[in-house]
Amino acid sequence: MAMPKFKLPGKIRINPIVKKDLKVISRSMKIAWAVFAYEMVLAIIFFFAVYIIFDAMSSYGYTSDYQEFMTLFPVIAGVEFAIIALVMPIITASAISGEKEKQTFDLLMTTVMTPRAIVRGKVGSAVIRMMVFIIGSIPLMALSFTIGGLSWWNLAVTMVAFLIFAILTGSIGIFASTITKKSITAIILTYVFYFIFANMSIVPTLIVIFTSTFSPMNVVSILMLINPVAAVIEMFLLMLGGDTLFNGNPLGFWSGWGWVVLSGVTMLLMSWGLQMLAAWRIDPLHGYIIVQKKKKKVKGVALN
Amino acid sequence: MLYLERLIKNYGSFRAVDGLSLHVPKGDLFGFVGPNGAGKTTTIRMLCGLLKPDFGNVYIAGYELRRQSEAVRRCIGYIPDFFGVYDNLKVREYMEFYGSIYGIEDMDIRKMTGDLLELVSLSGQEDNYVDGLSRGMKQRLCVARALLHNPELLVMDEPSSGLDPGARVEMKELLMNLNSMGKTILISSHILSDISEMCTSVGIMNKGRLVTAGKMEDVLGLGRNTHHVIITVSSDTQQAALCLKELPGIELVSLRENEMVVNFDGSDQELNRVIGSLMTGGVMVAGFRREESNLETLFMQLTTGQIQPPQNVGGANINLQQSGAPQGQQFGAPMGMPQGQQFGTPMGMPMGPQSGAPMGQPMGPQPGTPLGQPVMQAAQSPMGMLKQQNTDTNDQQGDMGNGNA
Repeated sequence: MAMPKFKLPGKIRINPIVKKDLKVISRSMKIAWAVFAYEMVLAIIFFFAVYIIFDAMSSYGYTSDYQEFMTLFPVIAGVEFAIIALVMPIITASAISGEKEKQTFDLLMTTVMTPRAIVRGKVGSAVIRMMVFIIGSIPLMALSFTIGGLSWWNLAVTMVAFLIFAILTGSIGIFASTITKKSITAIILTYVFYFIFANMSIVPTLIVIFTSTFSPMNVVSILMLINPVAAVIEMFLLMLGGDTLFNGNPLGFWSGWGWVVLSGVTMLLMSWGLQMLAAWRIDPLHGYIIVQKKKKKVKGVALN
Repeated sequence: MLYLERLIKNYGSFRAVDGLSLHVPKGDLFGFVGPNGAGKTTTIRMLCGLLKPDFGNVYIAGYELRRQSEAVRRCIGYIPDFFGVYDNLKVREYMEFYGSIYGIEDMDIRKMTGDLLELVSLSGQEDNYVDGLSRGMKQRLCVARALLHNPELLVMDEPSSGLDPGARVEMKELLMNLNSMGKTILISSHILSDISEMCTSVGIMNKGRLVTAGKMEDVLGLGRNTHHVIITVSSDTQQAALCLKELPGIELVSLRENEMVVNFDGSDQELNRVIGSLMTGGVMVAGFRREESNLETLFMQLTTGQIQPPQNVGGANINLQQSGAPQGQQFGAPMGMPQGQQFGTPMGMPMGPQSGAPMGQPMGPQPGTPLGQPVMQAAQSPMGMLKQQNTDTNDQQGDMGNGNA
């Protein structure tokens, strides 16, 4: 019997920056100690949460309401989201400014690597580093499964949410890194951007809620698409009890899992936009390069 | 190989580079010199694509930076005056990283790394951390890194700065070696003795403008009219000096142990007569020679305005082909040039007078014609004038000879 012919897929080319960063990181003991410290913090929070649950149960006279233990999952996941939000800027904010400080940035820019590839590489390496921490915490999160009520699917969805959130925060960080030359300023700037992004959804939402005379939930659900905190809360509400943030929303799709997916896509688009902006900012020839159109039509560029 | 077309760069109200045009032919080792703030680094950063020109264009190996930046970057190996190294990377990994950026296969990178490290005398350092290398070794590693993708043009900005004399000599030998292999090299340096020793051509910048450029011997010839004559005497120099004072048209500049440096602007025959008169006066002349022009002196003279560059040269429209650059290298119209766009006229600029290439011939600057300017006769053109001056000087030298009396 003739064997079917398989065509091997083309060689996957890893971004050189990701490859180099991972090589350097994996050789250092720093990452091992950092993962250890991260797990320790999570474990302390986990056992503290267990203690509080037991304490609450005993004060109400319950002894075996295991349903309460399901809240451990969102607690741990929430802490991890917070840690991502705090740590990602520290990793990515120094990505470009760090290259400038080490004087390697100019060398990179004279190579054939495009500014977009450089930014992608930097975000990619930061996200992979962050995911090492997240994946390392799976056993701790899985403790919640011993109680029941949660599925592997929930864990997988949470992992995807972590990934999207890491990409978003990383993109904000890298954009901040292109604005300033100093790493510390870039980190602070990232937190300022968090505040701005949060207010971009919260302020209009409050205005809508307080000024609208009829159900504003359809508008609110659209405004909240760019808010990762809302997406995480909605996700856990749906996992734990099937409830939703946007009760009373007449548009069916704009609530529940459909909304969560849409919010994830919106955040990925925001990340892409921020990465493009970062690439534009680091490109020394932006505004000078004339992009060749397929029709060989040359677009004129007004020079300063 | 490298063609800069009326480059302008402003930093606020300060014009760092002012209408710089330059052509460096293939195979040249071009020295780029000038005082601090002259605009050398700005020019180098513009041609490497690290800085956006406010006006003008850069062509490298026929590719236009504006339209084919990736192709231009592929043709360039950039070596800055600092060592951009990553912590915790070994020499081999450093090379692998840059090799993978250019899409070179791992196997090829390994082979090339070995060859290149041998070329820069870093064999056996593959498994050492880059951070642990000496300054000279790091700079040579930078050269190896820049050569990894086999670029046609090496651009070096002060590669010898901070190196000890030994490392400097090694770097100089390496560059001459690379040049002999056919690499075109543009090097900016403040060490003028190195530049004059190793470079085949040179450009002097001052205040954002190219004061002069050309083949090394042609540029050095610029200061030759004011050259001093060194007369070696084996008798008493004081007596020789007294005797010299009585002679017309000659001025004593300095008196050394057995040498007199005199300023003499007469012809070679007149100089021969002066030497004859000295000998008749009882001075035992052991020899005489014209003082060799050196780059340091010329640099100082040009940048301080002691001598003026030939007319039109200050405008910085320099084409090295006029000064004896390798023949047969016609700079054709760069690839990807839009139809109807006249070479030498940046887009959006009014068309300047063009040399008017006949139909069917490649458009581009006529060899020996500054960009955007009407064709000049060789003698009228800046380097043509230089060449004529040098021919005159050489003729004079030929008459005079450099022999011993």
